[in-house]
Amino acid sequence: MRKLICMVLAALMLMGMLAGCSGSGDAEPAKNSGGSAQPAELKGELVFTIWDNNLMTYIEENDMIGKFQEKYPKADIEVEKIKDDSEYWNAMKMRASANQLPDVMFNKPFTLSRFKDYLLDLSGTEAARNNALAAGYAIDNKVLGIPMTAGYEYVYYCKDIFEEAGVTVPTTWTELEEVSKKLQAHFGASEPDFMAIALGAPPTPTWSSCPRWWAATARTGTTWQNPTPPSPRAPTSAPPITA
Amino acid sequence: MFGKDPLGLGNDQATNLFAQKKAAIIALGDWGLQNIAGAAESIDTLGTFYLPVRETAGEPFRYIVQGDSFMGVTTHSKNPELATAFVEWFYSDAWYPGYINYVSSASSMTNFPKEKDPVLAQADELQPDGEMVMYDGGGDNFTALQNETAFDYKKLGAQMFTDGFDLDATLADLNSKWAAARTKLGIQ
Repeated sequence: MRKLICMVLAALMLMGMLAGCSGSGDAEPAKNSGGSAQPAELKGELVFTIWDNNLMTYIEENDMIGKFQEKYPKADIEVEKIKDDSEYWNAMKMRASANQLPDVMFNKPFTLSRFKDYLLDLSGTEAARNNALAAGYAIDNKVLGIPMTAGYEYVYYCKDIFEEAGVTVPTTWTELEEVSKKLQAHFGASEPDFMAIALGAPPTPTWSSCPRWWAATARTGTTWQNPTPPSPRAPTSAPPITA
Repeated sequence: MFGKDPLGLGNDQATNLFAQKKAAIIALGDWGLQNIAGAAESIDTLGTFYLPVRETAGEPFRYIVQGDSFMGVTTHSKNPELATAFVEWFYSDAWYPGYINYVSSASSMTNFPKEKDPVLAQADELQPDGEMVMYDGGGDNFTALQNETAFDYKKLGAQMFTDGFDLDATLADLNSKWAAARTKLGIQ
Protein backbone atom coordinates (compact mmCIF):
# COMPACT_ATOMS: atom_id res chain seq x y z
CA MET A 1 0.00 0.00 0.00
CA ARG A 2 2.79 2.33 0.99
CA LYS A 3 4.61 1.47 -2.23
CA LEU A 4 1.46 2.22 -4.21
CA ILE A 5 1.06 5.61 -2.52
CA CYS A 6 4.69 6.47 -3.33
CA MET A 7 4.19 5.51 -6.96
CA VAL A 8 1.05 7.65 -7.22
CA LEU A 9 2.83 10.61 -5.63
CA ALA A 10 5.80 10.19 -7.97
CA ALA A 11 3.47 10.10 -10.98
CA LEU A 12 1.68 13.24 -9.82
CA MET A 13 5.01 15.03 -9.35
CA LEU A 14 6.16 13.97 -12.80
CA MET A 15 2.93 15.22 -14.35
CA GLY A 16 3.41 18.55 -12.61
CA MET A 17 6.97 18.85 -13.94
CA LEU A 18 5.92 18.06 -17.47
CA ALA A 19 3.09 20.61 -17.33
CA GLY A 20 5.60 23.22 -16.19
CA CYS A 21 7.92 22.35 -19.06
CA SER A 22 5.22 22.65 -21.73
CA GLY A 23 5.15 26.42 -21.44
CA SER A 24 8.08 28.80 -21.48
CA GLY A 25 10.29 29.35 -18.49
CA ASP A 26 8.76 32.81 -18.36
CA ALA A 27 5.28 32.87 -16.92
CA GLU A 28 4.20 35.57 -19.42
CA PRO A 29 1.13 34.37 -21.32
CA ALA A 30 2.20 36.39 -24.34
CA LYS A 31 4.61 33.62 -25.30
CA ASN A 32 1.83 31.24 -26.28
CA SER A 33 0.21 32.27 -29.51
CA GLY A 34 -3.52 32.69 -29.00
CA GLY A 35 -3.29 31.08 -25.56
CA SER A 36 -4.76 27.77 -24.59
CA ALA A 37 -8.36 28.87 -25.25
CA GLN A 38 -9.94 28.39 -28.65
CA PRO A 39 -10.34 31.62 -30.66
CA ALA A 40 -14.11 31.58 -30.33
CA GLU A 41 -13.77 31.41 -26.55
CA LEU A 42 -11.39 34.32 -26.08
CA LYS A 43 -13.38 37.28 -24.93
CA GLY A 44 -12.96 40.76 -23.58
CA GLU A 45 -12.30 44.30 -24.65
CA LEU A 46 -9.05 45.69 -25.91
CA VAL A 47 -7.85 49.24 -26.32
CA PHE A 48 -5.57 49.63 -29.32
CA THR A 49 -3.93 53.07 -29.38
CA ILE A 50 -2.37 54.47 -32.55
CA TRP A 51 -1.19 57.77 -34.04
CA ASP A 52 -0.85 56.82 -37.72
CA ASN A 53 -3.43 58.56 -39.95
CA ASN A 54 -3.02 56.06 -42.79
CA LEU A 55 -3.52 53.12 -40.47
CA MET A 56 -6.64 54.70 -38.97
CA THR A 57 -8.13 55.26 -42.40
CA TYR A 58 -7.42 51.70 -43.42
CA ILE A 59 -8.86 50.34 -40.18
CA GLU A 60 -12.09 52.26 -40.71
CA GLU A 61 -12.47 51.58 -44.41
CA ASN A 62 -11.78 47.87 -44.03
CA ASP A 63 -13.70 47.20 -40.83
CA MET A 64 -10.78 45.79 -38.90
CA ILE A 65 -12.88 45.23 -35.79
CA GLY A 66 -15.53 43.32 -37.73
CA LYS A 67 -12.92 41.15 -39.40
CA PHE A 68 -11.25 40.40 -36.06
CA GLN A 69 -14.61 39.44 -34.62
CA GLU A 70 -15.12 36.90 -37.37
CA LYS A 71 -12.45 34.86 -35.62
CA TYR A 72 -12.99 36.18 -32.09
CA PRO A 73 -16.73 36.83 -31.85
CA LYS A 74 -16.64 37.51 -28.12
CA ALA A 75 -13.94 40.16 -28.39
CA ASP A 76 -14.27 43.89 -28.92
CA ILE A 77 -11.66 46.52 -29.76
CA GLU A 78 -11.61 50.22 -29.15
CA VAL A 79 -9.23 51.87 -31.59
CA GLU A 80 -8.00 55.06 -30.01
CA LYS A 81 -6.45 57.56 -32.40
CA ILE A 82 -4.09 60.14 -30.91
CA LYS A 83 -3.40 63.25 -32.96
CA ASP A 84 0.27 62.71 -33.73
CA ASP A 85 3.32 60.90 -32.46
CA SER A 86 4.39 63.83 -30.30
CA GLU A 87 1.14 63.77 -28.33
CA TYR A 88 1.27 59.98 -28.36
CA TRP A 89 4.48 59.85 -26.34
CA ASN A 90 3.22 62.43 -23.89
CA ALA A 91 0.04 60.42 -23.38
CA MET A 92 1.81 57.09 -23.03
CA LYS A 93 4.28 58.54 -20.56
CA MET A 94 1.45 59.74 -18.32
CA ARG A 95 -0.48 56.52 -18.68
CA ALA A 96 2.53 54.41 -17.84
CA SER A 97 2.83 56.24 -14.54
CA ALA A 98 -0.88 55.85 -13.89
CA ASN A 99 -0.92 52.14 -14.74
CA GLN A 100 -3.26 52.88 -17.62
CA LEU A 101 -1.43 51.97 -20.77
CA PRO A 102 -3.64 50.53 -23.52
CA ASP A 103 -3.69 46.80 -24.16
CA VAL A 104 -1.83 47.23 -27.44
CA MET A 105 0.44 50.16 -28.25
CA PHE A 106 3.04 51.12 -30.78
CA ASN A 107 6.63 52.10 -30.23
CA LYS A 108 9.33 53.62 -32.33
CA PRO A 109 12.85 52.12 -32.34
CA PHE A 110 14.00 54.82 -29.95
CA THR A 111 11.10 54.44 -27.50
CA LEU A 112 11.25 50.67 -27.04
CA SER A 113 13.81 50.92 -24.26
CA ARG A 114 11.80 53.70 -22.66
CA PHE A 115 8.79 51.42 -22.25
CA LYS A 116 10.64 48.13 -21.84
CA ASP A 117 9.34 47.60 -18.31
CA TYR A 118 5.77 47.91 -19.56
CA LEU A 119 5.83 45.50 -22.49
CA LEU A 120 5.34 41.76 -22.66
CA ASP A 121 7.78 39.44 -24.40
CA LEU A 122 6.38 38.39 -27.77
CA SER A 123 9.30 36.13 -28.70
CA GLY A 124 7.12 33.04 -28.81
CA THR A 125 4.63 34.40 -31.30
CA GLU A 126 4.32 33.47 -34.96
CA ALA A 127 4.35 37.15 -35.78
CA ALA A 128 7.78 37.57 -34.21
CA ARG A 129 9.16 34.49 -35.93
CA ASN A 130 7.99 35.68 -39.33
CA ASN A 131 9.19 39.24 -38.87
CA ALA A 132 12.47 40.09 -40.56
CA LEU A 133 13.49 42.77 -38.07
CA ALA A 134 11.87 42.00 -34.70
CA ALA A 135 14.71 39.91 -33.27
CA GLY A 136 17.23 42.57 -34.16
CA TYR A 137 15.48 45.03 -31.86
CA ALA A 138 15.16 42.64 -28.91
CA ILE A 139 16.03 44.07 -25.50
CA ASP A 140 17.47 41.65 -22.97
CA ASN A 141 16.55 38.88 -25.45
CA LYS A 142 12.90 39.90 -25.36
CA VAL A 143 10.91 40.95 -28.40
CA LEU A 144 8.95 43.84 -26.96
CA GLY A 145 7.43 45.01 -30.20
CA ILE A 146 6.88 43.70 -33.69
CA PRO A 147 7.63 46.28 -36.39
CA MET A 148 4.79 46.82 -38.79
CA THR A 149 6.97 48.08 -41.59
CA ALA A 150 10.55 48.08 -42.77
CA GLY A 151 11.44 51.71 -43.26
CA TYR A 152 13.88 52.97 -45.79
CA GLU A 153 15.03 56.54 -45.92
CA TYR A 154 14.93 58.14 -49.32
CA VAL A 155 15.94 61.40 -50.89
CA TYR A 156 13.05 62.38 -53.14
CA TYR A 157 13.94 64.70 -55.98
CA CYS A 158 12.34 66.38 -58.96
CA LYS A 159 13.93 64.97 -62.09
CA ASP A 160 12.84 67.87 -64.26
CA ILE A 161 14.34 70.39 -61.86
CA PHE A 162 17.61 68.45 -61.82
CA GLU A 163 17.63 68.32 -65.61
CA GLU A 164 17.00 72.02 -66.01
CA ALA A 165 19.84 72.87 -63.62
CA GLY A 166 22.14 70.43 -65.40
CA VAL A 167 22.83 68.21 -62.37
CA THR A 168 22.67 64.47 -61.84
CA VAL A 169 21.98 62.23 -58.86
CA PRO A 170 24.89 62.51 -56.38
CA THR A 171 26.66 59.37 -55.18
CA THR A 172 28.99 60.97 -52.61
CA TRP A 173 28.55 63.59 -49.92
CA THR A 174 30.70 66.07 -51.80
CA GLU A 175 28.61 65.59 -54.92
CA LEU A 176 25.46 66.21 -52.89
CA GLU A 177 26.90 69.51 -51.66
CA GLU A 178 27.82 70.55 -55.20
CA VAL A 179 24.47 69.54 -56.66
CA SER A 180 22.61 71.42 -53.94
CA LYS A 181 24.64 74.58 -54.50
CA LYS A 182 24.08 74.44 -58.26
CA LEU A 183 20.36 73.96 -57.79
CA GLN A 184 20.18 76.89 -55.40
CA ALA A 185 22.23 79.13 -57.70
CA HIS A 186 20.17 78.20 -60.76
CA PHE A 187 16.69 78.64 -59.31
CA GLY A 188 17.36 80.92 -56.37
CA ALA A 189 18.35 83.80 -58.62
CA SER A 190 14.81 84.21 -59.94
CA GLU A 191 12.90 82.58 -57.08
CA PRO A 192 14.04 83.99 -53.72
CA ASP A 193 12.00 81.43 -51.79
CA PHE A 194 13.35 78.42 -53.66
CA MET A 195 15.04 75.77 -51.50
CA ALA A 196 17.49 73.27 -52.90
CA ILE A 197 16.72 71.07 -49.88
CA ALA A 198 13.40 71.18 -47.99
CA LEU A 199 14.21 70.17 -44.45
CA GLY A 200 11.19 70.73 -42.28
CA ALA A 201 13.09 70.82 -39.02
CA PRO A 202 11.08 72.42 -36.21
CA PRO A 203 12.98 73.18 -32.96
CA THR A 204 11.89 69.92 -31.35
CA PRO A 205 11.60 67.36 -34.12
CA THR A 206 10.17 64.06 -33.08
CA TRP A 207 10.96 61.97 -36.10
CA SER A 208 14.25 60.55 -37.11
CA SER A 209 15.08 62.42 -40.32
CA CYS A 210 17.02 65.12 -38.50
CA PRO A 211 19.62 62.83 -36.96
CA ARG A 212 20.10 61.26 -40.35
CA TRP A 213 20.87 64.63 -41.85
CA TRP A 214 23.05 65.46 -38.87
CA ALA A 215 24.94 62.20 -39.20
CA ALA A 216 25.40 62.79 -42.87
CA THR A 217 26.43 66.40 -42.46
CA ALA A 218 28.94 65.48 -39.79
CA ARG A 219 30.27 62.75 -42.03
CA THR A 220 29.85 60.14 -39.33
CA GLY A 221 27.79 57.72 -41.35
CA THR A 222 27.22 56.09 -37.98
CA THR A 223 24.38 53.68 -37.68
CA TRP A 224 23.75 54.51 -34.02
CA GLN A 225 23.88 50.76 -33.53
CA ASN A 226 27.53 50.91 -32.66
CA PRO A 227 28.22 53.79 -30.33
CA THR A 228 31.35 54.91 -32.06
CA PRO A 229 32.41 58.48 -31.52
CA PRO A 230 31.81 61.04 -34.22
CA SER A 231 34.18 60.81 -37.16
CA PRO A 232 37.71 62.00 -36.42
CA ARG A 233 37.75 63.61 -39.86
CA ALA A 234 37.17 67.31 -39.90
CA PRO A 235 33.49 67.68 -40.70
CA THR A 236 32.25 70.36 -43.05
CA SER A 237 30.47 73.27 -41.54
CA ALA A 238 26.78 73.67 -42.11
CA PRO A 239 25.93 76.26 -44.73
CA PRO A 240 24.75 79.54 -43.25
CA ILE A 241 21.14 80.47 -43.62
CA THR A 242 20.72 82.29 -46.89
CA ALA A 243 19.24 85.75 -46.71
CA MET B 1 20.21 75.89 -49.61
CA PHE B 2 17.69 75.06 -46.89
CA GLY B 3 15.57 78.13 -47.38
CA LYS B 4 15.14 81.25 -45.30
CA ASP B 5 13.69 79.54 -42.24
CA PRO B 6 14.45 75.81 -42.12
CA LEU B 7 13.70 75.60 -38.40
CA GLY B 8 10.39 77.32 -38.84
CA LEU B 9 8.95 74.86 -41.31
CA GLY B 10 7.21 71.75 -40.13
CA ASN B 11 7.50 68.45 -41.90
CA ASP B 12 4.07 68.79 -43.51
CA GLN B 13 4.87 72.27 -44.77
CA ALA B 14 8.21 71.20 -46.20
CA THR B 15 6.58 68.23 -47.94
CA ASN B 16 3.90 70.44 -49.46
CA LEU B 17 6.48 72.93 -50.74
CA PHE B 18 8.48 70.12 -52.30
CA ALA B 19 5.32 68.71 -53.90
CA GLN B 20 4.69 72.17 -55.38
CA LYS B 21 8.27 72.21 -56.74
CA LYS B 22 9.39 75.05 -54.51
CA ALA B 23 12.24 72.72 -53.47
CA ALA B 24 14.32 70.24 -55.42
CA ILE B 25 15.13 67.69 -52.72
CA ILE B 26 13.53 66.35 -49.57
CA ALA B 27 14.58 63.45 -47.34
CA LEU B 28 11.73 61.37 -45.99
CA GLY B 29 10.92 57.81 -45.14
CA ASP B 30 9.09 55.61 -47.63
CA TRP B 31 5.85 56.81 -46.05
CA GLY B 32 6.65 60.20 -47.60
CA LEU B 33 5.63 59.01 -51.05
CA GLN B 34 1.95 58.95 -50.14
CA ASN B 35 2.19 62.43 -48.64
CA ILE B 36 3.97 63.84 -51.68
CA ALA B 37 1.54 62.18 -54.08
CA GLY B 38 -1.35 63.63 -52.13
CA ALA B 39 -0.01 67.17 -52.39
CA ALA B 40 1.43 67.15 -55.93
CA GLU B 41 -0.32 67.69 -59.24
CA SER B 42 1.66 64.80 -60.65
CA ILE B 43 4.52 62.53 -59.55
CA ASP B 44 5.56 61.67 -63.11
CA THR B 45 8.93 63.39 -62.64
CA LEU B 46 9.47 62.23 -59.05
CA GLY B 47 12.58 60.17 -58.40
CA THR B 48 14.47 58.79 -55.40
CA PHE B 49 18.02 58.04 -54.41
CA TYR B 50 19.65 56.95 -51.17
CA LEU B 51 21.42 59.63 -49.15
CA PRO B 52 25.12 59.39 -50.07
CA VAL B 53 27.12 59.67 -46.83
CA ARG B 54 30.37 58.28 -48.22
CA GLU B 55 33.16 60.68 -49.09
CA THR B 56 34.44 59.00 -52.22
CA ALA B 57 33.03 56.68 -54.84
CA GLY B 58 35.64 54.11 -53.85
CA GLU B 59 33.96 53.46 -50.52
CA PRO B 60 30.98 51.12 -50.04
CA PHE B 61 27.64 52.83 -50.48
CA ARG B 62 25.78 52.27 -47.21
CA TYR B 63 22.20 53.24 -46.46
CA ILE B 64 19.86 52.85 -43.54
CA VAL B 65 16.84 50.62 -43.02
CA GLN B 66 14.84 50.46 -39.82
CA GLY B 67 11.85 48.76 -38.32
CA ASP B 68 9.02 51.11 -37.54
CA SER B 69 5.76 51.07 -35.58
CA PHE B 70 6.54 48.28 -33.14
CA MET B 71 3.28 46.74 -31.98
CA GLY B 72 3.42 45.49 -28.43
CA VAL B 73 1.21 44.21 -25.63
CA THR B 74 1.51 46.17 -22.43
CA THR B 75 1.82 44.83 -18.90
CA HIS B 76 -1.24 46.91 -18.00
CA SER B 77 -3.47 44.81 -20.21
CA LYS B 78 -6.18 43.03 -18.29
CA ASN B 79 -6.51 40.60 -21.17
CA PRO B 80 -2.97 39.78 -22.36
CA GLU B 81 -4.01 36.53 -24.02
CA LEU B 82 -6.59 38.27 -26.19
CA ALA B 83 -4.22 41.17 -26.82
CA THR B 84 -1.51 38.77 -28.00
CA ALA B 85 -4.07 36.99 -30.16
CA PHE B 86 -4.88 40.36 -31.72
CA VAL B 87 -1.20 40.95 -32.53
CA GLU B 88 -0.98 37.50 -34.11
CA TRP B 89 -4.12 38.16 -36.12
CA PHE B 90 -2.90 41.60 -37.24
CA TYR B 91 0.23 40.06 -38.72
CA SER B 92 -1.61 37.12 -40.29
CA ASP B 93 -3.00 36.75 -43.80
CA ALA B 94 -6.36 37.86 -42.42
CA TRP B 95 -5.12 41.47 -42.17
CA TYR B 96 -1.46 42.26 -42.82
CA PRO B 97 -1.16 41.70 -46.61
CA GLY B 98 -4.06 44.04 -47.32
CA TYR B 99 -2.64 46.76 -45.10
CA ILE B 100 0.98 46.58 -46.31
CA ASN B 101 -0.18 46.78 -49.93
CA TYR B 102 -2.26 49.83 -49.05
CA VAL B 103 0.70 51.83 -47.71
CA SER B 104 3.89 52.75 -49.53
CA SER B 105 6.12 51.30 -46.81
CA ALA B 106 7.97 48.05 -47.26
CA SER B 107 6.87 44.82 -45.64
CA SER B 108 8.57 43.63 -42.45
CA MET B 109 7.11 40.12 -42.71
CA THR B 110 9.09 37.41 -44.46
CA ASN B 111 5.91 35.49 -45.24
CA PHE B 112 4.29 38.52 -46.85
CA PRO B 113 6.91 40.07 -49.14
CA LYS B 114 6.02 43.16 -51.15
CA GLU B 115 7.32 44.65 -54.33
CA LYS B 116 8.48 48.22 -53.94
CA ASP B 117 6.64 51.14 -55.53
CA PRO B 118 8.38 52.00 -58.84
CA VAL B 119 9.35 55.45 -57.52
CA LEU B 120 11.02 53.95 -54.44
CA ALA B 121 12.60 51.13 -56.45
CA GLN B 122 14.59 53.73 -58.38
CA ALA B 123 16.92 54.17 -55.42
CA ASP B 124 17.79 50.46 -55.52
CA GLU B 125 18.29 50.60 -59.29
CA LEU B 126 20.78 53.43 -58.84
CA GLN B 127 22.71 51.53 -56.15
CA PRO B 128 22.39 47.81 -56.89
CA ASP B 129 25.47 47.07 -54.75
CA GLY B 130 24.41 49.25 -51.83
CA GLU B 131 24.84 47.87 -48.30
CA MET B 132 21.89 48.04 -45.88
CA VAL B 133 22.62 49.08 -42.32
CA MET B 134 19.94 48.62 -39.66
CA TYR B 135 19.11 51.68 -37.63
CA ASP B 136 18.01 50.80 -34.14
CA GLY B 137 17.56 54.18 -32.61
CA GLY B 138 20.66 53.76 -30.50
CA GLY B 139 20.04 50.96 -28.08
CA ASP B 140 20.96 50.93 -24.40
CA ASN B 141 24.68 51.61 -24.86
CA PHE B 142 24.07 54.60 -27.07
CA THR B 143 21.45 55.92 -24.66
CA ALA B 144 23.87 55.58 -21.76
CA LEU B 145 26.57 57.45 -23.66
CA GLN B 146 24.08 60.04 -24.81
CA ASN B 147 23.01 60.70 -21.22
CA GLU B 148 26.58 60.80 -19.93
CA THR B 149 27.67 63.34 -22.53
CA ALA B 150 24.39 65.27 -22.61
CA PHE B 151 24.45 64.74 -26.37
CA ASP B 152 21.28 66.12 -27.90
CA TYR B 153 21.51 65.46 -31.63
CA LYS B 154 18.21 67.14 -32.36
CA LYS B 155 19.38 70.32 -30.67
CA LEU B 156 22.72 70.06 -32.46
CA GLY B 157 20.93 69.66 -35.78
CA ALA B 158 19.04 72.88 -35.13
CA GLN B 159 22.16 74.70 -33.92
CA MET B 160 23.89 73.90 -37.20
CA PHE B 161 21.55 76.34 -38.91
CA THR B 162 22.52 79.18 -36.62
CA ASP B 163 24.78 81.73 -38.25
CA GLY B 164 28.20 81.68 -36.62
CA PHE B 165 27.79 78.31 -34.90
CA ASP B 166 31.12 76.46 -34.80
CA LEU B 167 30.32 72.86 -35.67
CA ASP B 168 33.96 71.78 -35.83
CA ALA B 169 34.68 72.96 -32.31
CA THR B 170 31.48 71.42 -30.99
CA LEU B 171 32.26 68.05 -32.54
CA ALA B 172 35.82 68.13 -31.24
CA ASP B 173 34.50 68.73 -27.76
CA LEU B 174 31.92 65.99 -28.21
CA ASN B 175 34.60 63.58 -29.37
CA SER B 176 36.52 64.09 -26.14
CA LYS B 177 33.45 63.69 -23.97
CA TRP B 178 32.36 60.61 -25.87
CA ALA B 179 35.72 58.90 -25.44
CA ALA B 180 35.73 59.72 -21.74
CA ALA B 181 32.18 58.42 -21.35
CA ARG B 182 33.05 55.13 -23.02
CA THR B 183 35.93 54.66 -20.62
CA LYS B 184 33.85 55.58 -17.61
CA LEU B 185 30.93 53.33 -18.56
CA GLY B 186 33.08 50.50 -19.88
CA ILE B 187 31.40 50.54 -23.28
CA GLN B 188 33.57 49.38 -26.15
